[in-house]
Amino acid sequence: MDNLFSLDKGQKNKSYKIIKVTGDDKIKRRLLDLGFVNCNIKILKTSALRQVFLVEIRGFLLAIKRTELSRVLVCNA
Amino acid sequence: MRDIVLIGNPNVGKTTFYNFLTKSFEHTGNWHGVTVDKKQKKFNFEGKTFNIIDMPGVYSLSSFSFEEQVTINELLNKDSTILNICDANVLRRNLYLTVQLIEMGKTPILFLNFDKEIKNKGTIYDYDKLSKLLNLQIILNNKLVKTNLIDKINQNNKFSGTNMAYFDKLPICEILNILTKKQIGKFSFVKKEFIAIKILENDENIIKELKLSEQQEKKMKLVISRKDYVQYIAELRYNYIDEIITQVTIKSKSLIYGKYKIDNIILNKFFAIPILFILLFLIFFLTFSSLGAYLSDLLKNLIDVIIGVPIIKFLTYINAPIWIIDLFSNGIIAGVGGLFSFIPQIVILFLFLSLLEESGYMSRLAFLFEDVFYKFGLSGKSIFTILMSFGCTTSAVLTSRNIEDKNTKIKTAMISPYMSCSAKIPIYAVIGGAFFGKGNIFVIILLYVIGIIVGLVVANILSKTILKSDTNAFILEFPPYRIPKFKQILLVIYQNCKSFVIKVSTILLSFSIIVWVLQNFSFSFTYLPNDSSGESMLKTIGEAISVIFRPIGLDNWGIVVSLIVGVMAKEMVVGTMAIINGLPSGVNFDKTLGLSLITSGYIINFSPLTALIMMIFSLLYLPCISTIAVLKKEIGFKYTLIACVIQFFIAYFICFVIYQIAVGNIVSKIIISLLVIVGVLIIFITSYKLNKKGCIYDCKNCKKHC
Repeated sequence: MDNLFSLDKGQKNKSYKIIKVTGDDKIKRRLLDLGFVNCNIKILKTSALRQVFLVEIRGFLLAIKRTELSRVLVCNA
Repeated sequence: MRDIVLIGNPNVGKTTFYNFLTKSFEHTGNWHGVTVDKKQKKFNFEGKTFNIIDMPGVYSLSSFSFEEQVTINELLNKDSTILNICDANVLRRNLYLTVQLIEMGKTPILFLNFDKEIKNKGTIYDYDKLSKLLNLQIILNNKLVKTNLIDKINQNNKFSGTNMAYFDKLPICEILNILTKKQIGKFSFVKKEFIAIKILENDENIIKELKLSEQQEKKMKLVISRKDYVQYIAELRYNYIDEIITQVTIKSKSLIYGKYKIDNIILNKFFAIPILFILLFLIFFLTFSSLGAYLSDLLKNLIDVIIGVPIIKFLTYINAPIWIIDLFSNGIIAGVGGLFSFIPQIVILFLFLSLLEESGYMSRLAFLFEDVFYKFGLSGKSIFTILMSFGCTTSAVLTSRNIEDKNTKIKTAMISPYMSCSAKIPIYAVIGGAFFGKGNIFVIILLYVIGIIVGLVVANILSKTILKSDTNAFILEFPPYRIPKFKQILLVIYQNCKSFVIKVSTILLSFSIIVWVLQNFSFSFTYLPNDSSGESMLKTIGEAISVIFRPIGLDNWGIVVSLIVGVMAKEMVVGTMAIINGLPSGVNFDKTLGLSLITSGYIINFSPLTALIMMIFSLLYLPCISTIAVLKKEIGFKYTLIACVIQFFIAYFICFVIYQIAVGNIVSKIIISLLVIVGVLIIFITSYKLNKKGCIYDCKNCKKHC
């Protein structure tokens, strides 16, 4: 697990495996509730100013901001 | 009577099912967080009565967001039957909540919504097996759902929810040993293991309720700090669910819920905004210009022929006293009757708003606007409140609860009155129609744009001063596109018509009568027919206040009174004008009233300039009394007061600038223009500077180290 990086640095349309969500607050909890554990994630789109991402996770779509996404640590699937 | 609580993730169809069971018309929509508060109503079936309770949607049972707190309180303190509504399309995530209900010791009945939809797409689950594995009953959304539901409720005590195997992997006993029996006894309706899990998850509310001693706290911390239990417990739950899903899946097709090719165009960087503008123009065009105006005319003539003329004829025929005839023709028919003719336009506007809501497009808008709105101190989710405000601001303010950050929520609620609501349609139609004729639609669009821009600027200033946003979290699920159900749309229209008619025939009617009395009687209560020269109460009051409005060109006591009455309800602005101008009987409302407004002989009359100022001022000046009440409830007295003061000041300021530039002499024109330019520049520069200094995005993750 040496090549861990935060998902906001990921590429579009590529699958990554979620390893961990960092931090300890309600945003982490919300992400875990939504299923950001033991699964793959893919970035589909970014908004015009590249601050909001549309990701595909566990069979549904989620709009999520760069700041939140930067807390999701992933590795190549 | 048994309580049945509807619990589930957001946008799984809880309120739709609630409406179906209880025959109610609660607001539904295809986006996340339509329901913001608990609602309950009776459900009668085959001689039995149940109390159905609809809850806001939640993803989990911790007590972090407002909705979750409402839900968890409902579950902690009561032993009621739980109907856990799940969207079969995203079963895994929905089961995450189910698993927590089981942890809690509850025995929910699983209601699998949209199961036909996934079957058609090619996914089949073995529901019998699922039911056995979880030791819970399952019902599907089919024709027999009511009968099935009653059966399952009666048999539910035979089920108990499975024992969670992963409990062994957690130091549950260790935590429970630290607690006293009395502390555990506080939560009599839940399993004690649940309390231990909540402590491991560091759930503040539960811990606060337990009132731990210092020593207990120390011991707890030792256990909790061993591991990242928040992450670990979530992993255990999802592992468990993944295992169950693998076991019950008979056939599966991996489709992504809410993913459509059309979004490549709708969310495209270049097409997204033009598409939105075309859509909005279409809505405005159909509402105000073509279809809406045509239907409105039709209804107007109908009301005139069926109600207006016969009443006056009848009253004259029976020789009613002149003041009674005047009260009816001038007070009631002119003040209120004419308002009915705006029903078509209001219906069309609400029709489009509900189409937007039901289709799934609104959440896409939130995604598109988050970037921009964030710069103004709002959230992408503010778009829900803003769009709903075009219908009715009073109910729209409630939707701001979906916004997690408190200050962002307050800002969103504070700017929602700047969005022109449907009650202002009569003002634009009558005044604008009289002065701008066919070009009025562009004036109306301009007014909507002014409202939006002013709202955004106010939000921006607020976030630079008294309401800085703390967090900028934005996590929003994309709903699927759905073709709006015809019946649902009809219901929305029926509901809005009904509430409009009720409002007009109760509140607005009584205000009309009050206004008529004040207009036609002096302070010594002598009746003053329209042609008399005496001073009516209304005139005396209006003239006293009108001085304030001289600098913006509205120093006419009639206008002032209309604006004041308008705070009660915006529809009454034109109603009051009709009463004051003492229109001849007959209701051809906007034409007659419009005509009187251009004619200088009437009490209230405008020049094109003052007409425009009147429209802008009415757009911005104050929210109506019911919105003020809701604002006070949602954001507190202080911010409601600030919101009202800012609104009035801005309306006054904008109108002052327009009026003075238009009518003042050259010197004042130049001075005021210069002042405005300097003011705007200052606002821009300061916000730009603040942006640079404060770095608009989260500093923690910024590489620039500014």
